[in-house]
Amino acid sequence: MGLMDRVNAIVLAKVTSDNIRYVTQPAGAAGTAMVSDGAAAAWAFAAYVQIVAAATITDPSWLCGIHIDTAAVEHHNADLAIASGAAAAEVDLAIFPYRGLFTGATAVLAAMPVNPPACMLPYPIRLAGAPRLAGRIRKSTAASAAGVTLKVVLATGVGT
Amino acid sequence: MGLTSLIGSLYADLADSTNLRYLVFPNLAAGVTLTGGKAYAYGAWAEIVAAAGITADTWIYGVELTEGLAAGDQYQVQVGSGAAAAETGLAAVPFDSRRASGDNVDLPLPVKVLNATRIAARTANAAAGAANTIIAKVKAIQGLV
Repeated sequence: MGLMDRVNAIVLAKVTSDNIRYVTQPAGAAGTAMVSDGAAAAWAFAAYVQIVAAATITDPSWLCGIHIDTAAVEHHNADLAIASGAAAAEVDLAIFPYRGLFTGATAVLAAMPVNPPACMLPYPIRLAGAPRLAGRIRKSTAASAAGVTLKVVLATGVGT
Repeated sequence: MGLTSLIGSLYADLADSTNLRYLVFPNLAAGVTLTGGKAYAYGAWAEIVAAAGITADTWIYGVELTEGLAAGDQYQVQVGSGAAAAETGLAAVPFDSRRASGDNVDLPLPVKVLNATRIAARTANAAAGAANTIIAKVKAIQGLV
């Protein structure tokens, strides 16, 4: 791609961007249960959990951010890694810190002052070839099946 | 547009932006209540701003969402543009409302809507048994390019 094409793509992405579309995955469904595998020690990554299979998302797409719903099993502080690639060959793209608040007790739910907001990346990450997306967590608590429910936000049409 | 013009546009928008204006729609009015279609099905589109209310090319860069239901629910809110019954979905964002809470979801790359184009929104909600509501405002920029 020549200089003119590159600059034009930047202008299209940042300014004249009427082709950009944002979608969520999983689309039109509850989020993916991004839970630990019940064996990982505190702050050790658990196994990956698939978010979308390969050839599902538009090619190319851009990873723009995540949204986390309430936690399962227990409160925990954690890091969430979003990765692309086939099973057993995932590459982490972005790691987000989060605080998972378990809503299993009414008193806990009542004490939660705000909803968990979406966390958007300042620089979207290009996903070429409609890859499989997966995630994994490392959390503050000892081995358990704790985790959160996750959605990812993707963009399409960037730079066109 | 030549290379000099393209770089000039980027410079003006990103570094020398005296013409930029940030707006909310509806303007000087309450947010628009969106009703989900239950079980992650989209409900009907609701108008955020009429075509006549968009008087220049406009870039959508986010939404502000407030709970419309005391008990909360999970939502997929989509902002679109176009005439009634002919809307094009532009940006779908997830949102989890809880206990009269609200928040903003900002987009890293604004989406352009041409002058005199109606903006609308719709939502899906997670609960299977109830078509729950969320209140939306759209955040926008004018003066780019």
